[in-house]
Amino acid sequence: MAIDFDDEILQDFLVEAGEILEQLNEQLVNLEYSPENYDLLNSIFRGFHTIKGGGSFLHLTNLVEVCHQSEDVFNLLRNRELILDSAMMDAFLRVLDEVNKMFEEVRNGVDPTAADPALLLSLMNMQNIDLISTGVVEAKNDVVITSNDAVSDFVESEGEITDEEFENLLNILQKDNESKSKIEDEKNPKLAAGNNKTPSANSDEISDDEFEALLDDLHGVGAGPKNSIVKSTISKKETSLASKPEIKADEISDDEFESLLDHIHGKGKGPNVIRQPDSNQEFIQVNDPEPVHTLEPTVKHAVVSKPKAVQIETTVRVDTARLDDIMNLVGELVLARNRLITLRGTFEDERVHKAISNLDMVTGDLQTAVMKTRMQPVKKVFGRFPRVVRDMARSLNKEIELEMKGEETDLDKNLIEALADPLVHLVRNSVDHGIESPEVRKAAGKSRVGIVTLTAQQEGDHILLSISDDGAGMDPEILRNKVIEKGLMDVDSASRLDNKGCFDLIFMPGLSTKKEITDVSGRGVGMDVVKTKINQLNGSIDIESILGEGTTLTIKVPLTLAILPTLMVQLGTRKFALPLSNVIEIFELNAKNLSVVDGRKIVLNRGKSSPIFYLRSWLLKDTDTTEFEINKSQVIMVKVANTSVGLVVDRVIGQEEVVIKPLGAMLLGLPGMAGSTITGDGNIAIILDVQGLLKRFA
Amino acid sequence: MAGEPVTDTPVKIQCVTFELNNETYGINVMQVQEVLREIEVAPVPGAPNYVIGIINLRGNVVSVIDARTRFGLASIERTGMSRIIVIEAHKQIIGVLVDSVAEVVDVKLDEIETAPNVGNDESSRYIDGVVSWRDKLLILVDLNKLLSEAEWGTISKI
Repeated sequence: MAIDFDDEILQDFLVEAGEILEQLNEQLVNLEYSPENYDLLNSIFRGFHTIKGGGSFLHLTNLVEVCHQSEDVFNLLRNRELILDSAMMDAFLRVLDEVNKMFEEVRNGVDPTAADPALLLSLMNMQNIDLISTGVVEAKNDVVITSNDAVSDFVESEGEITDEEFENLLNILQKDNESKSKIEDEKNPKLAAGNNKTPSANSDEISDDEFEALLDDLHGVGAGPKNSIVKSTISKKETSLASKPEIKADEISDDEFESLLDHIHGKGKGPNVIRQPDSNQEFIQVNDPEPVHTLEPTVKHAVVSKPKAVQIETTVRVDTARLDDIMNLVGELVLARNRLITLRGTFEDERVHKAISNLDMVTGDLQTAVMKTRMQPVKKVFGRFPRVVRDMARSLNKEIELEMKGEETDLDKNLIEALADPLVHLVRNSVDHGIESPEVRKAAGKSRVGIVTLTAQQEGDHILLSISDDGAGMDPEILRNKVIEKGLMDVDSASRLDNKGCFDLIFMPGLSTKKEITDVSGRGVGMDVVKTKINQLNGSIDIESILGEGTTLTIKVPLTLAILPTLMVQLGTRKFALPLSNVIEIFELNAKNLSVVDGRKIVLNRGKSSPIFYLRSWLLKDTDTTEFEINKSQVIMVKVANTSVGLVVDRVIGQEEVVIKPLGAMLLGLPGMAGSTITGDGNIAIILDVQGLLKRFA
Repeated sequence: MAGEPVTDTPVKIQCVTFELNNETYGINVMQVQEVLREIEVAPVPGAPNYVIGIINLRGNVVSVIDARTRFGLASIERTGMSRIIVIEAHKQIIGVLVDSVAEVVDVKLDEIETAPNVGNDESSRYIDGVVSWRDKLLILVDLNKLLSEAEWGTISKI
């Protein structure tokens, strides 16, 4: 079956369910630490339910199936009828992977492939084991409802239950209760005890669970009551019948409502619930309840969108493309402002000055405000790490605790997306290389459990993200030897490196100190890629490590990608912009600090010598000379990948915040060119990518 | 072409004509956004030879290619007649530098002949067909082919 559904609905589903999936990921991992957390179980249950609901509306049968099974297990879990164990945990995480996979398929317009049958089976088994172990089940799929004839009439004869009938039904039940029959959950006495509800305390109460189960049974049996009616009915019912002697119309909570709907949607699988009355011996046996999955789509849609209605909408979902447009327009405005500011000097009129200053301020505010609309909490990326760390710790037999700080720090959406992969890589590195095995840790006098800390914080117009571990730390000597061994550096230059320089070696392509390549890491491609990626974001990465105590990696990225602080320089008649993050300092070029070593020009600055290049000869075609005009040129010291290099320019114009415009059409990916921008005077300046330039020319 | 009654059926297209090395070429007017007179083109270091640089088109950066280089002709200095035709193809906007732009003409679809398979490969690759017009040949350029498909591919990835 091809996915031919209305795009909009499908998109909505993908967005909404995608968010739920992300949450589930986090929640499942949290669950492992607090398996008893009812709220958590509940919300996971609801998560699966919502995905299932949306999925069934879109006829994504395979997706529905796996969600449905998980949901059932969670229903048992949250009702304390099952106890979570680690095997189940693994199964759930696999379920999540499956669901994610299916999602990807749906996104690509393919019908999701069926989940691993073994997985489904294990989910089903979880439900069965529970029932069997309680020893009450005689026949699966049999439903035993405690009730009198009147109830059974309802059950058998009514396809629809109206408000009134529902009331009646409850009244009958209530009378039943009053006269003698207690409805109590004998299915799992242990559970009942766990809930601290002794039968006597329950005598004329129907507990939440029972009420729910009762409704489930009724509807599971009834020939598909109209959802809308049930919905309106149920919503008026009392959540906790227990508290009222008389049954009064009130509300049933969302959860209950959902679980009720659940069973209505259920694929005809008999509710695995058994009630035994203690006085009334009349049993109603219902075999093979009719499968009820032919509900009108409209009804289902109402169900799917129900949770939305509960939380009052204070947000508007906006397409990021639209935000990008706004951002671009604001960028234009900033440029126009810059132009006006450039022109300000030519006006004599005080009022013009005032107006321009005003515009300047408002534009700045607008820019910040628009930027904020694109901000998302770092949590978005951090959310995936508990799972990553957990899975890795398991497969590596390590004990690791993950701490996250500053998750609410806001960061540009694009940056968050772009940072996700590098961060995952670094976290994996910390877990794999950083944290030692529990035995080693113990021997070293540390606690068995290693701690990986993720921190995010804002510092001025930058965001600092750090990943630290209290693991083994890095040994500069090993790195140094490795780099020599691999022939990536000669002995002399390697021995000149200080500790920090050695740590930075891990960013070199082709270097891995891990002796064996595992599926986790050790191929020696990762860090190099991480570094490149972060550089592309105009960010930097820094390592601190103390042998035996741990390693901290700090990533520094600008708050936003849209606006870049640059240093404008002039070469001939052209302007070029150097990202300010690369610039260390600027000084005059004179005969004293310039020398030639080995045919290469070297500049001496603060006692350090660095190679120096004439930017003009690289960038302007008509320049045939590589000679500098001493005393007239200025040197910009830039730092790229631990080496500082002097770039000679004709003139430094000054600092300018620019809006990056990608180089149009065929020019993208030119080495050394990061983009272009329109300067205050309306001309085009090319933004240089210093690292790329050096790679290409130096 | 003048005075012909306009019919509803799309039997003809309108073409913007431009000159290159004394030959007249035409491109579908629907793909032309505008024609720019003198505008400063900022060269981009390291760009392919047929890309002369980028321009600031009201805040948007647009790359400009030299039609001469692209068609395998020797490039010349820009003159007062030089124009940049801003076109849209494959949802990308790009400027094409030509020697001059003349006018918009109607071309009947059934008069278009497939291009004779002669001439150098460079230029014939981009030609859609020819039509005789005012005792001359009007060469219809297929913009979608003007950049080889591979190049459009890299562009749309942006």
